[in-house]
Amino acid sequence: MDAIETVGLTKKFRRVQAVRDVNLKVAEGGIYALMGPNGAGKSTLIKMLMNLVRPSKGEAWMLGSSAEFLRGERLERIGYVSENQKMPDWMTVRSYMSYWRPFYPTWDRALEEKLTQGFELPVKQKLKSLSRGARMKASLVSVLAYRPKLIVLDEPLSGLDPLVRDELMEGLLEMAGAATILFSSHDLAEIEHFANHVGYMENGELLLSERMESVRSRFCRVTAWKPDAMTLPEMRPPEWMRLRHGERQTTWVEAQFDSGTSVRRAREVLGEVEIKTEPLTLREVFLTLAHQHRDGALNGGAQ
Amino acid sequence: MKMILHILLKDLRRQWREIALYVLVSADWAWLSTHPGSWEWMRQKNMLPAVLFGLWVFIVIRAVQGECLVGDREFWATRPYRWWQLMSAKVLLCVAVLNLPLTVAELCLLRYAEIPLTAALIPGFLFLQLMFFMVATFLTSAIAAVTETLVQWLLTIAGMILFAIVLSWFPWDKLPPTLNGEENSAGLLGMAIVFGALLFLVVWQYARRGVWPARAALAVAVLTVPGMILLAHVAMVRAMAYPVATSPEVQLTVQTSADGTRTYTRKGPPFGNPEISIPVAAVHIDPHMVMSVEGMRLHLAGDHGWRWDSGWVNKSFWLGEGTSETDLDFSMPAAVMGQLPRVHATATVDLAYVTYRLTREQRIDTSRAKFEIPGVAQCRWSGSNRFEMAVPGLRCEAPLRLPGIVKEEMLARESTCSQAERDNVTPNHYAVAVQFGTDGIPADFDMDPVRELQMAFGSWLPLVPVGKEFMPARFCRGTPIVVQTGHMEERRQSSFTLGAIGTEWDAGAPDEGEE
Repeated sequence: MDAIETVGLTKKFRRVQAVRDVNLKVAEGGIYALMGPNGAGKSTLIKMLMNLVRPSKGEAWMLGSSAEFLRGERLERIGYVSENQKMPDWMTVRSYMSYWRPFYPTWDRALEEKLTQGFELPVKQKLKSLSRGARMKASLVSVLAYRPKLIVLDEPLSGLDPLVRDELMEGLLEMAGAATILFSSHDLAEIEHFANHVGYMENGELLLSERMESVRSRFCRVTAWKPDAMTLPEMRPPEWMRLRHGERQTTWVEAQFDSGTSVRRAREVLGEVEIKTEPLTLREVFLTLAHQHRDGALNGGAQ
Repeated sequence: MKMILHILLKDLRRQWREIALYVLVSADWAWLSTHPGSWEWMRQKNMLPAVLFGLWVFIVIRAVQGECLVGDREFWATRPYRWWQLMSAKVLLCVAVLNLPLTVAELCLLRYAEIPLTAALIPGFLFLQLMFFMVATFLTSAIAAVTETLVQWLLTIAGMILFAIVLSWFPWDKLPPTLNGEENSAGLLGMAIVFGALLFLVVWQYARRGVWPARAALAVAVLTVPGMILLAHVAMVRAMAYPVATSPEVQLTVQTSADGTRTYTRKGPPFGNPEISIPVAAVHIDPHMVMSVEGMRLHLAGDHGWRWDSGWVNKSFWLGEGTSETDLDFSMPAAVMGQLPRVHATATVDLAYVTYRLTREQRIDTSRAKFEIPGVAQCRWSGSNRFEMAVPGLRCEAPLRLPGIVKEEMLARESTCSQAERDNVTPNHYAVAVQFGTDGIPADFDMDPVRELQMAFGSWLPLVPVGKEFMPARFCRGTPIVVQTGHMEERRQSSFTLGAIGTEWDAGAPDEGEE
């Protein structure tokens, strides 16, 4: 069963379409990174999943229950941490934890203590006097302590220094156990080492959603080289993205790279060329997708 | 229940400062109310209810917005709250920290007034606190439920005040006046709509957190107010408020002088229309009934289909045994007034009134320093004249409410006042005081639970002229009084034919003033 599933999820704020027809599946036990630039619609999508914002169209399910009815006891198994969530600032860290304790039958006091100590949280301090990193840690402890089955994090690492970021992610991965994790981020470096699934959003659309290995293996930069001058024909394969043509060298990115087919097609188009391939970093994959999407949108707009 | 208390305790910890201040101010109000002093005391005492109300509203707003029902960034919205537990915790907080201290303060006031605190007062107190809850807590929380901050709440209120100001520019004065009964009927319906809409708003916000349906409900509630004003003018509402009496409780006749002539008075005020004053007397009046008139209308019909109608006008007077005479004053255009003698007009008067049934009569000895009017009030004679009293030195106080009607009567022959105070008053003279209380509800909506019985006797009856005034009826310690209490029965309207009006006037009425 998928821990999260959406079908045609759409959100429109007056004239602005924040999320368009998103079909997303997050498998149970997976760690899913939802990527995309600021304003891509990640937070809106997550808020719809958490029933904080009502979708204009489409449906979403969290742990098998419709997100529309996500309230009350259904939230006992789901944890949510967001960078811009308001917190009861007047509470101390200790009172914050003890306030949430009775809400969760599965609250693990020992785990709470362990995490609080591990994160070096000042339990007697009020939340308002904590640094941003410490507030996020406190928020994360208050979620991990009841061992949720699904953890949703909206930009949890944004603006944190690298040390705190690593502490937080390590703590999360260590303590999350078999929980499914969905987190959003606009910083690729944050997630590359943690996630096993990745999704990429741009302008409200989910452009990509698949396993991390698959993304890494199928996206490939291809360089064709020829000692003589190389001419680029008018008709080029549509699979060639981010094409750069030089006098003797042409470079492009293929989203479905296959060593046999891709090389043969390159030679059919460019003649006898030497082919070099290299895998793309995640950052390059998303940049390619972003450019491709924007070019498509521009072309579409021109039409 | 455990979770409700858990949330409640959290709010108590968060709001203890303002709650402590509210409790202190409540105590101060109770202390000042029971320890009269200087003008400065009076100023403070009058100011404190406003301070208490302000604190009350502030505490409610903070309580509701502590778990803000608007926005998508709230810390609690993704936690396993049960909406009814959260709502119950807020209700419990308001009752415990707002209603309870006020109740204690009110009990102190009753105790100071030497009114016994009996179990019979419990329904009244519960009702009173429910009213405070509905008016102060519920209305405040309804707006707090669709706003995120105190500033937004204040802006919403400012918007409503602006709406009221804009409404006040409408030519409401062009509408005919409305009577109490119509306002009550329209008001009840309007209140039902307003509270229904706001209840939906609050429950919806707690259960679903959907701002637009809630704001629509708020708009319905706000728009109901001008709707209520308009509704009061609908003829059907008047017919519902004052059904036509099949057999009128009294007969109304125009008073006649000793020689049998009718005398009307024509008044010509310096500005506006002249008035006609018709002296009438109620006859065949049931001794156990009091008729409190709320509105009246004059129809005139004359030769060749000539007609004139005053429309309904507000008027407040009462008729009962011993006080059955009054003047009906109607304003009419000078042209109509001038036509009256020529058109041989006949007059019909419609009265819209409430009937009260007097069910209990008791004779009270007022000679002791403290005496009781059983079931009505506790009275004390004292030299103090600190409070404004109708009868100097006498203070009669009742818990929570007065009966629907209290009628007191004293006889001149039993008066214990000095003879100088009743010069020209014969032993057969008498004085009557009537005070209308509250019917149908167990307490008046007032912070001060002590109600005062006024005993304003007015003048001796029949009237004894003294210069341009009439001899006032002084009530002195020891004068026995007969107190009758009763309840409201129904609202009715009746027509009374008064007969020819213009001709009679021509025949003998002297003019007073100039047209």
